[in-house]
Amino acid sequence: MKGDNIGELEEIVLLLVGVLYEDAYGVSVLKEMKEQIGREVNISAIHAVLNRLEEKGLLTSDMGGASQVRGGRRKRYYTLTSTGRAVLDQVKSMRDKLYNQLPALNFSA
Amino acid sequence: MKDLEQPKPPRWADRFLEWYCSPRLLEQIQGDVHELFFWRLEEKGVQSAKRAFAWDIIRLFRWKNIKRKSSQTTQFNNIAMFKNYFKIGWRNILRQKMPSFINITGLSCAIGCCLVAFMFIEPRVIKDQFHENGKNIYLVAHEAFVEGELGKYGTFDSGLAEDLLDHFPQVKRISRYKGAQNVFRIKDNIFRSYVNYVDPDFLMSFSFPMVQGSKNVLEDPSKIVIDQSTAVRFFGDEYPIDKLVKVIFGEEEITFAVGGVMEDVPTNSSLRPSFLLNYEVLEGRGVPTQNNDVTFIELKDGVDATELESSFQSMVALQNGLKPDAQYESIFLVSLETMSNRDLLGAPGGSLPMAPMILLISIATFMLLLAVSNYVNIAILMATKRVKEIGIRKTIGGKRQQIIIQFLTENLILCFISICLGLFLAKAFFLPWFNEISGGTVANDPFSNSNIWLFLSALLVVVTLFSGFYPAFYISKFKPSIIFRGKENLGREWGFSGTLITFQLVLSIITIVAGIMFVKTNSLIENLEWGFEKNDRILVNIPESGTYRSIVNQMTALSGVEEVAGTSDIFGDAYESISFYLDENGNNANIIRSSAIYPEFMGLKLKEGRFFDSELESDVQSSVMVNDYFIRRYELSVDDYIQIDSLPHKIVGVLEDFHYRSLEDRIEPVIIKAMPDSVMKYLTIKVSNGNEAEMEPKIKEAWLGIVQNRPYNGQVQSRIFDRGFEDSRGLRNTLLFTATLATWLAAMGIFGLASLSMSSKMKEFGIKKVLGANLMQLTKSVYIRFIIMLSIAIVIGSALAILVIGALLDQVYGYHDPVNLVPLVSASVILAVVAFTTITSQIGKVKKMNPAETLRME
Repeated sequence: MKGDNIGELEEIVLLLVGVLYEDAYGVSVLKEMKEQIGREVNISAIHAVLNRLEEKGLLTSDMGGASQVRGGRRKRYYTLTSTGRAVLDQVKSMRDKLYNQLPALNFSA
Repeated sequence: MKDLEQPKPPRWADRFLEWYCSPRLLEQIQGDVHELFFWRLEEKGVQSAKRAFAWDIIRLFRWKNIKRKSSQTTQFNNIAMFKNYFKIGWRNILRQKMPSFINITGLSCAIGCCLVAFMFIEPRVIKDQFHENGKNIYLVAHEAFVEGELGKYGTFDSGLAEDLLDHFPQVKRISRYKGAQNVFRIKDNIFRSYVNYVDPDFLMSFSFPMVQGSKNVLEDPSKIVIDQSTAVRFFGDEYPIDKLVKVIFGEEEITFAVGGVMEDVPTNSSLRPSFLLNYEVLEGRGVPTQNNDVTFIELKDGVDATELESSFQSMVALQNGLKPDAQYESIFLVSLETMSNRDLLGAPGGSLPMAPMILLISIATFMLLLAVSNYVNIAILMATKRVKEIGIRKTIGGKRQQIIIQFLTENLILCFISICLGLFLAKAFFLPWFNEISGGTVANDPFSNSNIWLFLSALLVVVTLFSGFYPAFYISKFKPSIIFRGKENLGREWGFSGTLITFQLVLSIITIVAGIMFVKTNSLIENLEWGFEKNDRILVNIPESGTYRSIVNQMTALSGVEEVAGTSDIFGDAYESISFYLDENGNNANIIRSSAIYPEFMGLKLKEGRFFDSELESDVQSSVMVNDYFIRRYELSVDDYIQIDSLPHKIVGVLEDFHYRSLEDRIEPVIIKAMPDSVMKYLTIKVSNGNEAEMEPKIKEAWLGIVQNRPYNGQVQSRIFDRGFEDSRGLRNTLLFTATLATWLAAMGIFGLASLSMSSKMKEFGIKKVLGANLMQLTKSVYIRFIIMLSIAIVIGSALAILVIGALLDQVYGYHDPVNLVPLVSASVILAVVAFTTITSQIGKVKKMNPAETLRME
C-alpha cells in the first residue's frame, strides 16, 4: 500500500488534520502546528503535504464556505479517511512497541 | 463598514500568483495566503506581513501549482469571436468615414514611401541570393602583403586557376571573370563598353537565364553573349543570333557572332555583365592582362568548403615559387552569397550608396511616424464614441485582453487596406516617379522582389502594433461602472494627443525647411556664374594623339567654325588632381591640362599676371596658371614658384575663380598647365554666334570622316552641367514632395483632432451659445491650445532643422545659404497658415451650429 510509509512532517500534518477535525484547512493546520508543536512551516509546504496525503488516500477534501477575511474565497477542508486513521494507528503502535523495548535507565549504576 | 485604509497584500505578488497558479487550486491557495496576510498583519505589522506574503507566493511557485494546459481552462469559441471583431471593425471603418479616410490615406502614403525605400535599398543590400548553385559557388581570394600592409584580395592567379580542376576533384567548375573596356562596333554604331571575359562554364555555374541560345555557347571562342537590352538596342525586333559584333583590340578588329542573349542582370547582382566573351579571346590580344583575376569555383554537392580551403594552402608555395614578386600569404574561399558584405580588394560589386539610402529611410520613417501619430490620436478620440460598447462588452464578461485584441483586429483591417492602397500608390505613382528622378534604377513592380511579402508582413505587424497598441490599451482601461455613470473624463486627453500633434508639427517643420532650403540652393546653383564662356563651344574627343592635327585641320576648315583649342581636361568636368611641393611641403590641387591658348580661349578672367604665351618655350614646360583661391590658400603671388614632378614651375598668371568641376562642388585650388598637342584628349571648337545646335551634327560628320573604329564622344560646353542639374532638381522635387506630404499629414491630424474634440463638446457649446457666448469665447481655448503646440513645435523644429538640414546640405552641396531665419520663418508661417485654416474650417461648424439641435438630441 502506498500509504505504508509516511514522513515525519506528513505524520504531524495528518495528526493535526485529525485533531482539527472539521476545521482543518491550510492555514489552520499551519497555525495549529505553531501553537501545539512550536514549529513554523511555510504555507507552501503545508499545501504540498496536504496534496500528497490526499493522493495517498489518507485525506479527503471538500470546498467549504466563504470567509470575509479571505476576501470571499472558499477554503478547502480536509478530513481524515479511515485509511489515514489506520496509518496513524499503525505508526503509533510501531513507535510504542519500539519505545517499550528501550532498557530502563539505571540510576543506581 | 470596512476601513478603506486597511493595508492590502502587495498587488504584484497577487497578480503573479493569479498568473501562474492553476485555476483549480487558485481559490484555496489565494484564500490561504490572504488569510495568513491579515493574521500576520495583526501579529507582526504591515511591512513584515507584506514581505511574508510575497515570500509565500514565491514558495508556492511549484510544479504542482503551476497551470500547464491552457486549453483545459480556456475554451472560447475564438472563430465566432474574431468573426464578430471583423464585422464590428468593418462597420466602424465604414461608419466613421472622415477618420477612416484620414487614417487610410495617411497610412497608405506612408507605406508607399516605405515601399519605394524598400525597393531601392533591398537589392543593394541583399545581393547575389538568386543563383541556383549559389550555395556551392565560392570566390577564390588571397591575402598578401602589398607595400608592407596585409590586405585581403578578391582575386586569384589566373594561371593557377586553370589547373584547379585537375588538382582538386572537389571542384566541379571554375570560371574566371575578368572585366575590361573595349571599343565595339555593331552595325554602324561605335561605342565603348565593359565586356567580361569568362571561362565557358560561367553560364552553367551562375543563374543568368538565357533568352536565346544555350548555356554552353561560350565554349566556342568566336561567339559573344549579349544581354537583352543590348540586343533590343541594336537589333530591335530582328533575330539576334549570329548577328555580328566587332570588338576592337588596339589595331585589330575581331568579329564575333552573337551566340546567345541573356536576360538583363538584376540589380541585386554583384556581377553585372552585359557582354560575355570566352577568356581565351584575351590571349595575345592588347587587353592588359594582370596575373590576378576574379575567379569563382563551383564545388560538387556536399563538399566542405573549409576543408577544401585548407588543402588550397598547398598552392601558396607554388604561387610564391612561380611569382616571387606577387607573394601570397594565404588563400581563402568566400561564399558568393556573402561576397558583397566582405571588403575585398578587386572583388566585383560596388560600394553602397549610403546618402540616398539614409535619405530614403528618413523620409519613409518620417511619413510612417506622421501617419501613425494621426492614427493614435484619432483612435483615442474615436473611442469616446464607443465607450458604451466597451462597457457592455466588459459587463457581459469581456476581458481586458479581449478588448485589446478586438481593437488591434480593427486596426489590422485598416492597416491591411492601407497596405493594399500603398502598394497601388507605389506602383502607380511613387515608383515610376522616383525612377524618373533617379534614372530608372528601381524595379517598377514591387512583386518582382522576392522578399516583398516578408517586408509587407513585417510592415503590417509593426504598423498595426505601433499604431494600435496604445489606443487599444487606453480604451480597454475604462471601467464599466464609470462609463455607465458617465463620469469618465473621456476624450480630453490633451496631454498625450497634444504631444503627438506637436511631434507631427516638428516633423513637418523640418521637412518644409528642407524643401525651402533645397529650392533655394538649387536656384543658387543653377544661377551661379560659371566663370568661363560656355556658349558656342563644342567639344569632340581625340581618340589618338596621331589624329589631333588632322582633326584640327578638318574642323578649322568647316564653315561656321571660328577657332579651335585643344585640352586634356574639360571645364566643368575636371576631377584630376596632382601633388605639388611648396618648400618641401606636399600638397594636392586639381589640375587642368590644356593647350596654352585654352584659358584665354575659354574666356577666363585674368586677375593678375598674364596668360600663357604659346610662343614661349618655357610656358609650355615650366609655367602654370592658378586660380585666385590657390593664391589665397597658399599665400603666394604671381612669379612665385611651385614644384611639380620635382621641377620648379613659375606662376605666370592668376585667374578669377571659375567652376572647373561640378557646380555642387566647392571651388578648390586648381592649377592650369599648358601641354603639348600630343596629350590633348579633346578639341574645343568655337562656332559662330548662336550656331551651336546647327553645327553639332556637321562637326560630328566631319569627325567621323577622319576617325575610324573609335566612338564619337562630342559634348556641348553649355550643357556640361545638365546631368548635375537634373540630379539636383530630382533631389529638390523629392524633398518638396516630402514636405507637402508631411504638411498634409500633419494638417489631417490637426483636422481630425479638432473636429473630433469639437464634436464631443457640441452640447457644451450649445448651452454656452444659448446663454449668449460669442464665437470667440467658445473657441478661444481650442486656439490657445493650438498656438501653444505650434510654438513649441516651431522652437524644437527650427533647432532640429538647423542641425539636420544644415548637415544634409553640407553633404550634397559645396555652396549653400545657411539655414537662417528666412526659411525657418517661412516654414513656420506656412505651417501656421495650414494649421489655422484647418482649425478654422472646423470652427465654422460651431459657428453655424444651431444650439436647438444639439440640445434636443436627448
